[in-house]
Amino acid sequence: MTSKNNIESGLIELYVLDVVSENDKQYIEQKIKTDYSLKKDIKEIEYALYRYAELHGIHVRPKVKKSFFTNIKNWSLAKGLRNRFSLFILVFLLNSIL
Amino acid sequence: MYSTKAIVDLIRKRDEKGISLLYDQYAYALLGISYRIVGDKQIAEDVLNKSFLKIWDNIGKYDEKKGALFTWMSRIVKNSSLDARRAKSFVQTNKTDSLTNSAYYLEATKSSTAKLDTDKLLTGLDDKYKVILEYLYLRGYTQKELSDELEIPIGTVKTRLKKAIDILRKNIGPETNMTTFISMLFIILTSNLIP
Repeated sequence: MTSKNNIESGLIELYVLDVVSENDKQYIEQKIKTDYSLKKDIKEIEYALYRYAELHGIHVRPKVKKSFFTNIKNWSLAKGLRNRFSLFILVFLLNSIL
Repeated sequence: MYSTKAIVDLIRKRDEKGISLLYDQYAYALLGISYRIVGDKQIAEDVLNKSFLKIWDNIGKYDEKKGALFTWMSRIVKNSSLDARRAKSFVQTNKTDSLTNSAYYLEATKSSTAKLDTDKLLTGLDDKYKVILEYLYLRGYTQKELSDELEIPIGTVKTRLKKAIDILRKNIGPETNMTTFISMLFIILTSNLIP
């Protein structure tokens, strides 16, 4: 399928919305690498949809953002502990083997 | 003023300032998507924060060559919202809220400039196109679900979606064209530099 046909068939719009089949997705991702006019179209569609979503946005209360930063700190702490524990297990296993 | 690329770089360096900037810039639009899918503001806020945690954790997987950052983030929010809806066993009626019900949560105090922008962006966008964008884009419907819901063929869904986006693109006008032109110039120049 040529780029012109892709554009006319509405496949690009569906790709940006992530409602295409895996085959079509891979096909378009391959085409983007070399087809500048296709890439340009995708960029314009993405921007148009972003503006549309922005228009339909909802105010985020400050406490929601505050809660996100509490979560991120807890998450980083938990991830650090998990990594240390994994390292400890690895060292323990290596010691047992050697 | 940070560019999207600079923000992504900050997050990749695990700098919380990056995710904070991203949150300020996009949370508003993303909460709108999540709310429309889950139909409950508190759950939508929870989904939003979980999605930003995924964005923070998975920023290494974001490939700018495949698409814009907002598109990537909106997919994360959409999928997380659909999961939340399934987990809560939402009934079909929640999913098919009328457009006016959703408007309840829209910011009531938009500035006059924003109002002008809204009018400009939506010029010529009839309800038959708005409904396609609303359900397919903002509510996470599949083409088949929407085709069944509206009792129109899938081909018509596809055509109307294309037409709706064409209208938005036309209404956005030269501003995007200039942005796109600069992006294209950048792509062409960088691609020539890479052997």
